[in-house]
Amino acid sequence: MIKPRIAVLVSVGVHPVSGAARWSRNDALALSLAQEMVRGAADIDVIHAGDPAEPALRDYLALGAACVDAIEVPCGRDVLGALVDRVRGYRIVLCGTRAEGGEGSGLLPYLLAQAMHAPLLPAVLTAQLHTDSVVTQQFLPKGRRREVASSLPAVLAVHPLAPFEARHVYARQRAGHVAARVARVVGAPLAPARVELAVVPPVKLAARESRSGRTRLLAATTMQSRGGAVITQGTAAEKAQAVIAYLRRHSLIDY
Amino acid sequence: MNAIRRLPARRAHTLTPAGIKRIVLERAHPDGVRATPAAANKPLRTDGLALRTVLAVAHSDRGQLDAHARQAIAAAALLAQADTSVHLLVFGELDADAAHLGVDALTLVPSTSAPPAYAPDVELAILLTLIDRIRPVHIFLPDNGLPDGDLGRRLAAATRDTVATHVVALSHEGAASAYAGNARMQCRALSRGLPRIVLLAPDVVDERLPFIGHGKRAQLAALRASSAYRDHGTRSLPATEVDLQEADLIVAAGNGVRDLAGFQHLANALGAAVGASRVAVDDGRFPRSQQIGATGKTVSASAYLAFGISGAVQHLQGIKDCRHVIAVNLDASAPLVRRADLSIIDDTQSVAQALLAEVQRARAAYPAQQVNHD
Repeated sequence: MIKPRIAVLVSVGVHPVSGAARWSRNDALALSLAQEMVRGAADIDVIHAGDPAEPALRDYLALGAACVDAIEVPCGRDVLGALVDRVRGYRIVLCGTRAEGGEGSGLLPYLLAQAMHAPLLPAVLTAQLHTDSVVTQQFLPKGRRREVASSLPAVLAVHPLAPFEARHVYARQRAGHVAARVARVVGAPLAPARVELAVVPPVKLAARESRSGRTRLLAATTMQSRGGAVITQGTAAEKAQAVIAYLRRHSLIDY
Repeated sequence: MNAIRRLPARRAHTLTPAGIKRIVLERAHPDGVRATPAAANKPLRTDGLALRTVLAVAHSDRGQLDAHARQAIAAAALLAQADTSVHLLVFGELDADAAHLGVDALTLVPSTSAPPAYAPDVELAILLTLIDRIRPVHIFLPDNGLPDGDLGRRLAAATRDTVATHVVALSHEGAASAYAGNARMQCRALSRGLPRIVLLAPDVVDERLPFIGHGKRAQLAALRASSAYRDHGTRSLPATEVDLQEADLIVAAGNGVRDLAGFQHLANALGAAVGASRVAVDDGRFPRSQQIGATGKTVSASAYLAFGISGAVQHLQGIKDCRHVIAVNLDASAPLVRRADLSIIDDTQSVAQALLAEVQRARAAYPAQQVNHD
């Protein structure tokens, strides 16, 4: 069997308390999921686009990467072109859902999948790799999980709640190395975004209040009935049936 | 003798739809009896000719839109000019009246299966067809991960339009996104001009609108194109494994519940998570982690069954995001009865026992029905 080629895209994260540059939790989840998927049967290429001299990249070596492939992309340039060029030929590309630095819009996996003409599987918790397909478990709110499969090659965006156990091994951090590469594709300069300190909380967009003072006072002090049905008559069994009927009518139970 | 002519302060008046008091001059009543107020109906947002369109996109869950989706629609309606019509595209059914959401034209795309299968590429094709037809100036979506945040990012990747994600503040001039930077310094990235695709963070917009839309409905046939994704089905985790804030079905106990074992049986039979009011927690009948309300947890279940809870303001705060509230209480004048969509006025213990029997009977009958269908 040919070994599947797997790439994990990593970025430089931000420490939640100190704000220092460090590994990104979302990308470490992707690395951990990749290791879980292949279980040593294939090599995992860890790829970064940005500054190869960034010391935070060595954290990924400590977390289990044999080598970090760092493509040199100058600050303020789009990394997409360089990444698309680098991951050509890979069967699986894994990345986190949202970067901690930069714009952090969560758009990169989508743009990458679009450029690769590959399906994108978002919110991945676990994944199994088969010879020509990948089956992933997707996170849905309200305690639901969905199983979605797609053909290969595919881009997987790992959900922040995926199972993760950080194993930081200092010896691996010393032994591994960060390989710097020159980008073959030069990215377009990014449009300069205006970033400013949020000193005041954001203003909620609301319609202009045009009610009279009395109406506003009444709305604040009294609670109007929402017009729900009130059942006072009948036996307990009939009332229980009314509850079941209500739940059925609104598809809240499936029996 | 006073020469100044005084007008009685409580003269007969009417309220205009805008909420402004207008004194009725013709029949000034000596007692100041209020004339019949103007109809409380909200006015139409605009009745002019629509030259442009804004589009809001949402997925419905069992015929209902959640608060986040309604906020995205409200954003589209609030930012629309007088010559702009608000178009809404809903994947799934919609029970609510589109006009009251501020929507002028509604397009429904019913799903072919229940629960709807994951086919974002098919949805994107439908969305692109609609965009091609109506050419919206802006497209608003709730940034809620799956399904709308996913669809919005796919749209942005496919069209390469300007886009703002995680938007925390917006106006006609532009949008501010939560900037993932240093946690100590909360930053915002500001865009010049409102981008074409806007993905809104939750609670950025007040969904209460002082106007209504035209609410014209149109239905699109579900596209039966083949998807690159194969959905192998959705499963729900057991209620005990799910956090209370995440639970979809909650039964909650208050001071009126004394039979704890029977209550627990009912929760297990329904497959529901267990919550409690502050009184029941303070009495030591439930752990603090199960308290719902201002000092406890805020829940957003689809169905919330409250047994013996009167519904203090603090408790009602905790359940404000619940979609369907069912109250079982001895007191018909309890505040929770006013909030509830269905209220049962009876002893909680007898109703809980009867409901347990009903649920067990319904569950026993369900497999038989399944066999009949096949």
